[in-house]
Amino acid sequence: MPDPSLRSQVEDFLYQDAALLDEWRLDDWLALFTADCSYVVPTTDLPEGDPTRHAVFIDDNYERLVGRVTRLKSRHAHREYPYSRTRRLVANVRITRESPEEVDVQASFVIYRVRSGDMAPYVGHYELTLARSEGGFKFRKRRAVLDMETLQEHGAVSIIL
Amino acid sequence: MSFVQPTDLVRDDPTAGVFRVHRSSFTSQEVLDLEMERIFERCWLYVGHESEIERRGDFVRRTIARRPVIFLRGSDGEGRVLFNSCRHRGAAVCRAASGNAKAFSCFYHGWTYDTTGRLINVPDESPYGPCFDKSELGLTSPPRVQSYRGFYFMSLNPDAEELPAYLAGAREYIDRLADQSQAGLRIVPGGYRYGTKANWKLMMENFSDTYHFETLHRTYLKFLSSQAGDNRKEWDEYNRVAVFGRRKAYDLDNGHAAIEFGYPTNGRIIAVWHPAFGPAARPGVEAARSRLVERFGEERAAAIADNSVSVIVYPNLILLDIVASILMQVWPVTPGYIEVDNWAIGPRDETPEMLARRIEQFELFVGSAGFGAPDDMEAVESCQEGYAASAGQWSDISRGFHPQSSGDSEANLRAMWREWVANLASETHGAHDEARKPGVGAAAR
Repeated sequence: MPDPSLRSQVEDFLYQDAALLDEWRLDDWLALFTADCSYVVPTTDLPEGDPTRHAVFIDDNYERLVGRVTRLKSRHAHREYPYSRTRRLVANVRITRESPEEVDVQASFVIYRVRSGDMAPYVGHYELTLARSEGGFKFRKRRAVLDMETLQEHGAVSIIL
Repeated sequence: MSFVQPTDLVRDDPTAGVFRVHRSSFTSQEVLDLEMERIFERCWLYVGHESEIERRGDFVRRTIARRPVIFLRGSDGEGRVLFNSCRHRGAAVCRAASGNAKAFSCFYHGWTYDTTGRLINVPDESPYGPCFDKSELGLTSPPRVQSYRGFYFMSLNPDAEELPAYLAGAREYIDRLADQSQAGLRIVPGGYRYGTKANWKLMMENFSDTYHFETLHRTYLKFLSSQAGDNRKEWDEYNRVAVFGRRKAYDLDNGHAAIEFGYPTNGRIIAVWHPAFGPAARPGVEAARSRLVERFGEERAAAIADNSVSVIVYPNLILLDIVASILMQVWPVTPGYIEVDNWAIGPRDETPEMLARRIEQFELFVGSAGFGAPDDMEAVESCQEGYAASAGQWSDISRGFHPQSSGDSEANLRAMWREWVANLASETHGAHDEARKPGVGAAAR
C-alpha cells in the first residue's frame, strides 16, 4: 500500500502542471521536465502505439518539446494564436510503482479547449513516470492516451495534453 | 443546378491570365449534391493499400463515398472491396475497425459470409422455401475494383475506364513512390483521422499549394533551422535561395496534377539527408540513395530520391512525397465540413532507425500535433468562414497563368478545377476527353 501522502504530493504536482498549462505559462511548465524526458501522444486508432514503430501524434524528446513551446509562444502558431482557453481536470490518480528515484502514476484527464465558438473535450488518461528531485517531482515520461475514436470535432492536437 | 450553371463557377481566361473560382463552389449544398453524383459516384476512389490486408482474412473497414465497405483479402488471396451490409436486413456484418477473420457473421440474425463475400450459412433456412438461393445473396461489391502497384481503388460507375488509364500521368508519381523499395511499400501503423470545418476542395488545394509554405509555416521552418546546428547558415541560405521559381506544376490529365518543389526543403528520408534527421541517420540515407542509383541509374534515381512533390490524385487523394511520404484523403460531409485521413507510407524493408526518422518527420510537419498541419487547418477554416462575407466573391488561382508571367505556377490547381467543372457540367461520365494532355515533362499553365 503506497503512502497516501505520496498520492497527495503527486496530485499537487499534477494540479500545478494543469494550472501552468491553462494559464499558458509555458516556460515555467517546461521546467517541470527532466532533460531525458519523453512526451508521447499516440494516435486515436492505435492507443498502444509505440513511437519508434508507429505513427503517433506526438513523440517529443526535450529538444522537440522546447521546439513545441517556442512555436506555441510565437504569434505564428496560428491554430493557437490567439490562445485557446483550456480547462484541465485531472482525477483518479493512482501510484502504480514507487522507487527512491521515481514514481509511476496513472491518472484520468478531461481537457476542454474553447476557441472560435467551439468547445471540444480531449478525454483520456496519463501514464507518467515522475523523477524525484530536490525541488519535488519532474516529468521523465509523459504519455497522454486519448479515448476519442478520431479527432472529428477537434481537428488537431494544437494544445499540450 | 437551379440558380447557376456549373460552368459559371470557374472563370478560365488564358489571354488575360485570369483564373477564378466562384466561392459558392465551397458553400453550396446544391454544388455538393452534384459533386457526389458526378464526381464521387463516377470517379475511381482510393480505398486502401495492399499492405493493410497482407494475410488472407485481413480486413479494414472504411467508408468510401458515404458507402460502408470492407477492404479485405479473401481466403483465395484476392484483394476485395465488399459493401458492409447484410443482404438480409442491412446490418453491418463487419463491426471491428480492422483485424483478421475467417467469416463475417451478422450479429442480427446470424447470416454468415466467407471472406470472398459468399453467403455460407443462414440459421434455420427451411422457412424460406425452395426458391431461396444462397448463391445469389452474397455480399455485393462496388461495380469496379482495381489496384495499381498495390494501391486499391473502387468506382461506383460500372462504365469507368480502366484504372491505369484513369490515373493517367499520376501513374508516374505512384511509380516513383513504389520504386523507392524493391520489397514494396507499407502503410505505417497509426493513422490520423480528423475533421476540418472547410470545403473538401479547399483542403485539396492546400495540400498542393506551395505558395503558402514560407508564410504560413514559418514556425516549422524556424524549428528546422534550429535543428541544423553548425550547418544552420548554409541551410537557411539554401532555403532562401531555393524557395521561389524552382517549382514546376504539371497537369497530369483527368484532374490529376503535380507540383514538383525542385529541391527538398526539409530533406527526404528517401534519400536526401537533412541535419534535422541527426548525424546518425546520414549513412542510412546515403546508402538508400546509392541503392536507387544502382537499380535505376542516376537520372531516374534522382527523380525518385531528390524530388519533393505533391500530387493530386483526382478527386480526393493527395500523395505528398516530401520529407516523408504521405497519403491524404479528403471526404466531404457537408459543404463546410470534411473528414480527412492521413497515413505515412514507406519501404517495407526500411531499417528501424530510418523508420523512426521517417515517422518523426511525418509527425513534425503534417502530424495533427505537428509544427505545420494545425496551421493549414486554421487557414482553410478561416477561408471557409470568410466565404460568409459575400456570396458574390471569387477566389483567385491565377499565379503563373498569364502568358507573360514566369516563376511559380498554380497550374496544378487549375488542372484540378478544370476537371471539376467539366465533371459537374457533364450529365454522363467521360467529360475529360478534351484536347489538353500535356502530361509529365511539360509544365502546364
